[in-house]
Amino acid sequence: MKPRLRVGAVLMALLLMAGCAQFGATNTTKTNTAVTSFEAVGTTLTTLYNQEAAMVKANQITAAQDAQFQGLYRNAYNGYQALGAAMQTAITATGTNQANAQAQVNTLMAELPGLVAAVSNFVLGLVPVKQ
Amino acid sequence: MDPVTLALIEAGITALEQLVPAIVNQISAAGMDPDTVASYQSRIQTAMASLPKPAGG
Repeated sequence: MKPRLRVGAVLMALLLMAGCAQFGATNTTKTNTAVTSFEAVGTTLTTLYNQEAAMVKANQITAAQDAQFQGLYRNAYNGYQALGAAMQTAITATGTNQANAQAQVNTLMAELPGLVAAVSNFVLGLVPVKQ
Repeated sequence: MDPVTLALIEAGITALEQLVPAIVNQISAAGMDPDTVASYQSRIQTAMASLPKPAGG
């Protein structure tokens, strides 16, 4: 599936999953999956950032395009940092605090795919993929 | 864009798909030993710090 189509699929999956609960996995398993995925999303954002920076260096994009990218990337960066901070709180908090932290994580998580997709779609739209 | 970069982006999108159910279905230290919790905290912190800062600080 093409990346841009996959981004759309992710967003659709998010809508479906947000209202559902998955049972059976241990806290360790679920948290490990969450942390591993969080790391991978960071790697993706870094890759997108570096890709755009390389294009700037090679004069392959305009200053206006660069400015647009920086705005989109900043949104994703801020969303990622906020989610990471909330995840850290959710992991260590207990009781009501944990529930509140989890709610914040869920809210931030609902926003992140759109922010990442905006960056990804923008970068993927800048240059064609080499065959 | 070279195929390796594209593959990395694809991998990240797949990770995002996994992140959603993992987080929506609770992340919690309940039942974990302290070393495991500390390890997760450290990994999250490292990932946050590793992300390139946006232009302009």
